[in-house]
Amino acid sequence: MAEGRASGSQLTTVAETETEERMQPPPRALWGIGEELAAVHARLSGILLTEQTMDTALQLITSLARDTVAGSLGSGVTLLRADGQPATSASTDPLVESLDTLQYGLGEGPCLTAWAGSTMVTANDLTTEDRWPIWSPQAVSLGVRSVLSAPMEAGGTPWGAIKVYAESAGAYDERAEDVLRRFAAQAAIFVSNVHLARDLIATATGMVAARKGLDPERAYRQLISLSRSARIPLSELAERMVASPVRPRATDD
Amino acid sequence: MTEPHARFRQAYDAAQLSVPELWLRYFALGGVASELEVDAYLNGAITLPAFQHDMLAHAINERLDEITPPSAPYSEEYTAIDHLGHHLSNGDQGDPQ
Repeated sequence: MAEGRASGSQLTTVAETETEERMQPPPRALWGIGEELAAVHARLSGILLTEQTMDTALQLITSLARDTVAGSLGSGVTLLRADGQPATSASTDPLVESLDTLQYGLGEGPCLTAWAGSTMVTANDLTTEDRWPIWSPQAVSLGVRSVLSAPMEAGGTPWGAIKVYAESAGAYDERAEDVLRRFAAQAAIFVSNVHLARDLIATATGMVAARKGLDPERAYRQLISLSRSARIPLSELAERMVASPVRPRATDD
Repeated sequence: MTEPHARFRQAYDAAQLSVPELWLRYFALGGVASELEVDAYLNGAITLPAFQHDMLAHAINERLDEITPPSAPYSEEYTAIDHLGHHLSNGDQGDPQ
């Protein structure tokens, strides 16, 4: 099944995950089981989704993008917070970082356009670009002429945008656009799957904790031993648990 | 380096995962240590909380399950999944132990 997954094959892994449709968001009905569970879940999510760790995942995505789209100086990816503010971002080098910081400071730039319009954005010569009148000249002064940016969307959620920069004008053709578009789609699935996997496991942990009166760590360890004894990956186990119907508390038997 | 840590390291080597790949799996399981910390931990340079260790160990073990030939299940494994469903949907049935 998952044999042959050598280093550098994240893209294949993402594609496999897509076709398997393994990660489903928890059903709303879940929240019926008790306020204490909701509280545990909220607390766990807060602990689990730290920015530091997400940054590392994004870092991997950017290096893959830079190497995938030929002729690129560097690459950057930006995820947006739930409130719609661009926040977490990662880049392959300081140049991309300054270009990004500039975008968010100014409130204009190719990534923001790609994300807001859910559309691929291509700029073949930033010296004559008029969509971002303030950002473009500054990008040029930093040595960038071409930029390509694709929105990262999965499961109806616009997770953010990814972009590659090049030194020369007209660096990106339709083929490069196509590569980045597909890459962005896979990266978005990856980001949303990682989040969903963590979310499902956190939810399942909360369920066990609430039902058995355990603290989250002990509940999680119990899930691990169930996963070992039943030989089911933890994410799959969590998915089954979250998807299984919740029975009313007081039944007669 | 203690004996268990040597075994931990051997299991990681057998899993044939790069540090970023292992870190991603660990992160998806809920791990909070950074990739650098995981790398340092594998090399015995730093310690991690036991809970983080367990997530990391589980990420390695799941990977080993993927790449090793299947092993024959014992009788109790036949009922493990049923037990699991029962156990979880009924709530307070208690542990077998």
